[in-house]
Amino acid sequence: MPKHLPDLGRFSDPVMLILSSLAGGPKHGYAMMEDILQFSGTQLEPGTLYGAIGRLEQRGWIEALEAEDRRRPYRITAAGVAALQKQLETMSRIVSVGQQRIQII
Amino acid sequence: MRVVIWILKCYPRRWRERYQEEMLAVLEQHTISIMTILDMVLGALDARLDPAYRTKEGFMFHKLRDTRTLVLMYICTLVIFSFSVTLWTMLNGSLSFQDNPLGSSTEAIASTIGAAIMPALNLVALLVTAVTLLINALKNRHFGICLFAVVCFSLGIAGVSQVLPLSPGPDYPLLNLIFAWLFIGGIALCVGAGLFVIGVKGLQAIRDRQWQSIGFALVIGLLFPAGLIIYDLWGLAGSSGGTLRLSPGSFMVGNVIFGSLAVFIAFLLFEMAPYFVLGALLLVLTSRTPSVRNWRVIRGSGILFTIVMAINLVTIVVWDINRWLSGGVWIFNPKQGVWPLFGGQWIGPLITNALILAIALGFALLALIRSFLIQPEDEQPLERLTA
Repeated sequence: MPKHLPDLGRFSDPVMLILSSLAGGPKHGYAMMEDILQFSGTQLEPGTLYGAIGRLEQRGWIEALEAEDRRRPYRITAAGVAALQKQLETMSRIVSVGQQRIQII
Repeated sequence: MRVVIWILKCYPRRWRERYQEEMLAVLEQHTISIMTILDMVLGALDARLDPAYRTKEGFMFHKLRDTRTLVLMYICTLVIFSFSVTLWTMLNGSLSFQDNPLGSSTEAIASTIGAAIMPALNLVALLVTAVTLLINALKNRHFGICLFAVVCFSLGIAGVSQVLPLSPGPDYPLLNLIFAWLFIGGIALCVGAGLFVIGVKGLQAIRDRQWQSIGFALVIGLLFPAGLIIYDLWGLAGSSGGTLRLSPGSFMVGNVIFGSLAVFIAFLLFEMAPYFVLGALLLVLTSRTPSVRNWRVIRGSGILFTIVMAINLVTIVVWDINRWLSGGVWIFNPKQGVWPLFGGQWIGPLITNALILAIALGFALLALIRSFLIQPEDEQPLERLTA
């Protein structure tokens, strides 16, 4: 089974959430937090959010757009889409296996 | 909001240049809670450890100076720690292995840490340096340095041999004898190695006109004896507790002048031996070409030292709070020391020593964290240590 976003440590889950959020269109930081809270129920704190954004930018999975006032929107890149897709496929298999096994119990 | 702005300043400069304004904009809209603050503290630590945000001229500028500053920080915290432990222990009781066996007593733990474990850590770090110097001297046929090493170690051994028990007996069980040999032997090594390293590196510092290094080493080296002097003065004023006092005629005891001199040196150096170690280390590490290998050894000692200091701080605080609650509160009287309101306890240790140790621990932790951020250059050749 492929590693779950290797080398990201505690930012593995926030990275997934941010990529999923940006897959729906470019957003700035606060908008990402609100979107993530809405679709996953997870409240990301600003420290974790920008820690994950920093790592995503370093890997080239997201890129910053021109800042509007003090807010800078980000958008997902092609590499980010590929990474997100790969992770979602893995998670989808896990969900499928889990659901099958729960029905057997 | 002020708290989070202050925490933002803990992020690396490069990070702040990139993300600070954005994060501030988010924080203005976000409900700030305890979790937000803790999350930002973690984020700051994480950013500090991220190589992407390191700058060449960061917290401590140049890498080489960074290493030196880091080790100086360790040594300075050791200074503060030793001074505080010495002063605290002497204010609250005598420093004696036999009177304070290891057990549930936190005072005993703190005393043992201050009297044995810390000097042992110092000794390891110092011996590595001394042996390196000696090996290089032999390789390069610097026989003067070799002879100087023999003199220094001989002086150390001769000095402590006067107080070394020679055989077990009814008053001196075998276990105590072995312990005494190990302990006093360690002191002899400390003294010998300390004198040797101070001599070699001190001469180099003088030759290179490193007056700041020499001055700093002298100040640090004298700080410890200041703790002892304070205790001795306190002892002369009539306070309780044992002390090793130097009487003016002690060096004239006995028929053999060398023996008498050795006794005098033993008493003097027995007290000051751990501090020679620090002075020696300081000179080594502020010299032109500190060895990366030595730095790594010292970092290892520094990790242990930081852990020991944290344990000692906890034991001191627990002990002091326990005594304070069980005994009472004192008010300071310039003549008598302190007046009891009810019972007799020192309020000083709880506040002053715990504070001093907490500050020292903070510095040590900062240096420890920083030590893992430094990527030293390639190993410098050992010959440079005596260059």
